Amino acid sequence: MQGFFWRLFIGYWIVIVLSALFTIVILSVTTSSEISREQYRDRLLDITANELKSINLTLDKESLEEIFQNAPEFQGFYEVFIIDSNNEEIRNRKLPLFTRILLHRLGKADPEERISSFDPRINYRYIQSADGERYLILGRLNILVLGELLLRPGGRFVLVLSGIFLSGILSYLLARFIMQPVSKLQHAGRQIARGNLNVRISDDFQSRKDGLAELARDFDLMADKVDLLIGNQERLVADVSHELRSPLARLQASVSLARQKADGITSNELDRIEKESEALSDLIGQILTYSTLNSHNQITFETTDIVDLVRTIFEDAKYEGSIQKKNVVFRTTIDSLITKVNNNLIHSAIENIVRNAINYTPSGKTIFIELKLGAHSKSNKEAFFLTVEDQGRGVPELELERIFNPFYRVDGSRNSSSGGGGIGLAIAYRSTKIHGGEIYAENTLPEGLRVSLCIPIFNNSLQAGSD
Amino acid sequence: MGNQILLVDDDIVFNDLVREYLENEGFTVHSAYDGDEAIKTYHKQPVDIIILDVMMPNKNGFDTLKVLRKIGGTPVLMLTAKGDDLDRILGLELGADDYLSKPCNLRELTARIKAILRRVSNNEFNGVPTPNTLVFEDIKLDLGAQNVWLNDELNSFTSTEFLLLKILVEKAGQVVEKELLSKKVLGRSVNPMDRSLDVHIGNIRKKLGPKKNGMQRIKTARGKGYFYVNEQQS
Repeated sequence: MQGFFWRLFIGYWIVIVLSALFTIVILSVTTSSEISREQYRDRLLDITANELKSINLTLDKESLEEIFQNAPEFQGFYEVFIIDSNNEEIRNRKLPLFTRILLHRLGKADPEERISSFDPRINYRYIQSADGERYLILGRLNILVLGELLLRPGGRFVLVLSGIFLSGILSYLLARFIMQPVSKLQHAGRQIARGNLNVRISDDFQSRKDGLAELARDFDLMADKVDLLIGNQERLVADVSHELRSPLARLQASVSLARQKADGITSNELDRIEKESEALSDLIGQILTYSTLNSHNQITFETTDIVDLVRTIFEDAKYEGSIQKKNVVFRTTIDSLITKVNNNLIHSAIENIVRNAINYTPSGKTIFIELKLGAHSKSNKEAFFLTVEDQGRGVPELELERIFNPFYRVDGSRNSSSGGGGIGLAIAYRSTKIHGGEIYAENTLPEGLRVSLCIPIFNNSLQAGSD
Repeated sequence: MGNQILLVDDDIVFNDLVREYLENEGFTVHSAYDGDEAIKTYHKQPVDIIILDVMMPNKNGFDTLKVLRKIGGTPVLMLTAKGDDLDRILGLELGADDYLSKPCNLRELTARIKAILRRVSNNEFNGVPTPNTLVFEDIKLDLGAQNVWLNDELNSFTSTEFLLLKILVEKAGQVVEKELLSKKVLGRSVNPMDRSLDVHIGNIRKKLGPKKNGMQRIKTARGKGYFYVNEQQS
């Protein structure tokens, strides 16, 4: 994006400078308007000089004033200064800028030599007044002549420099005018990609009425639509799960009743119905948990000891694993790690990862749980790392990221013997993200899957004893 | 046993099934199908325990619980929606004694009911032969009526909160492990997902307020349990 900005900026600049140079070249070849202005200026000076010649400038101040009063055009755009041999303006007017330099140079030079003023508006002439005194008449045409000034030999350099400078600023502003909204759009697009569907940008474009503002409005429309569609789908899932709870509650109650009436006689069918309806009920609970994870508004953070939490999960897992002849090992060097998390979410995240590991590990093998401290890779904040390593078959490299999707199964099979509802890792993923953490999976050698969880620690709650 | 149960659930089929199950277990069950009816029935027929569904039309379980708590301290077991953790905590904060998420196994429901009833009767029986009150610093526990007096002012406690406080006060100054508290008070093992104990302790703290010197009465020994602060510790 930054590169695009510079390309736009440099491009504009080059175009402006080139077109300016081109215009200058064309103009200098085709126009000759300068001559006419100089002529006009000289004619004005001629007229003035002729009139002044007829007056005794030293004594006849009245006639002098009369001339100036009768020629009102002199007051505005053409000014006349009459300078005597002592370099004094005889009407005591303030001499224009640069005139002193001109006078100085005139004083030194040969009277016949032409000296040009730095100010191109000024021309001069010597006259012999009626009293025989020699006077210098200075005329100044008050028309803006910046271009003229810059076209003079010394001014060309200034012109080129200032042209480049000004066009640089212009190009920069122009490039920014386009790129600012574009980068806003890009930022918003990235936010949507990250799952923040509440981003709207047209408010930032209110001052504009161009195509980019329309683009922003279209972007917002798209975001609304996506938000609505995803919201609808999530609501649908949540609503369906809600609706399933009532019949399921009746089903479970009926099974309990049937078992009560069977009065201690074991029945495989009842066992099966009971087990499956409990699995169904767990799954619905998980789907509802998952859908509340999408609406972040209900989540609160509590002070929790992570070591404690992991150890409890480990104890449960060890017990669960021992029934299936699977070892569970917990390694950590930390005694206590107190931070602010949502207890339930972190617990279910870790529990789901561990349960998943147990499900995919064959009997007689081991699951390793490890907890350590480190720095969060993105923010460099202090974080805790939890890795759970199983000795199962692992996951094809290409599918490693997909295991965090709801209802993903590695082998594509849907038999419940590999266990789990297929949503556990998705819950772990969401929970981790809500805590600003990272979760990823990788295959280990010779066989197995390692799921790692990294969650930043909030240290501001380091107080023991009360909550 | 013949304990009286008020069963409040708007799902008629579910209500009937649960009633039949509980009656087979020897309870006397009164059914109510919404909050208002439950309150009416409760006025007519005092019961030992109320089973209250959260999700009901009109007056939901929480609103009903608020009204019931104003009337009296009969133990309440909430049936909360599965997958909704906030419901459980809200229920306990409003003074429910325990919860079970629905759909549920009725054996589990029966076990919880029995645990609560045992706790209530334990409280009653323990008090009768030996001293009827337990006094510690500025609080007095009336073991018979399950009342808590703070500076001679009456505080209403649920049976769960009462038993928790009683255990903590009896062992004032020592850490009582969560596991022990959970087993004795809730009748089940401690589970980190289950914040019941924390919520009940929070309720007690709120009701009693801090000690005269501003110290909290019940402190958390993180990862272990809770203890009631005695004179030397404060």
